[in-house]
Amino acid sequence: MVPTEVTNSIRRLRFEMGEMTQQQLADAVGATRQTIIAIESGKYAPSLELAFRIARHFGRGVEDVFGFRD
Amino acid sequence: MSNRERISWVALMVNLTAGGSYFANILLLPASADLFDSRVAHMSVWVVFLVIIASEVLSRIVQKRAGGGGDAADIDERDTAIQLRAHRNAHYVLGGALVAVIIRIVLIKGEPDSTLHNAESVLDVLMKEPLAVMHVVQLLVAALCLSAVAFNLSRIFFYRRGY
Repeated sequence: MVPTEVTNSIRRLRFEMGEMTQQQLADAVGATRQTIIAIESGKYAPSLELAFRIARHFGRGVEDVFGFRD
Repeated sequence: MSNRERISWVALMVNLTAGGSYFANILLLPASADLFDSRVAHMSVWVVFLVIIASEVLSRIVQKRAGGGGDAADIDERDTAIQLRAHRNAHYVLGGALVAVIIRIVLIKGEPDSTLHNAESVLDVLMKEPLAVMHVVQLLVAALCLSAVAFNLSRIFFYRRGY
């Protein structure tokens, strides 16, 4: 399988926010835990809307949370 | 394994079991069997009900055992994307199967029932003989079954892969 070119720092940010669980993040942004797992492991690139919701939940900008592999 | 993947496995097993038992019965009937016969019609209806009811009941059991909520109850963008991809693959399979049925009908022309002496079973008729209406119906049912199997296999594949 070819992983997505979109990278992210969700795992690090979750732990910086008091070891937030994947389920808690999923509930907060309106996604399923499986989707958060897929995003974190680089198997799924979220839509722009979900990316904004995740970034906003961490109080960061989208580019602080997501990047693009060169 | 996520609940949605479990539900896909359940649906796939129901499709394979119901479709397999249906065609195992139909294809082994003698070539001269009347496919308009009420027993065959009852079996067809029974299989359709079995697929619908068994899929629904088993899916609810899987959801209930998982606690009802969570990813079994909610659909997000990834689920929708996987559903769309699975539908697309099922559509391709259905289209291909329908083209195969059309080619099969066109390749062997002739009056139905005129050369049944060469066939021993319904399977022989479907492979070698000019087709009657109910034989075409069986091929179309097979195409639908293949499409449903492709749909569930695609869902399982995408859920296992992540997307």
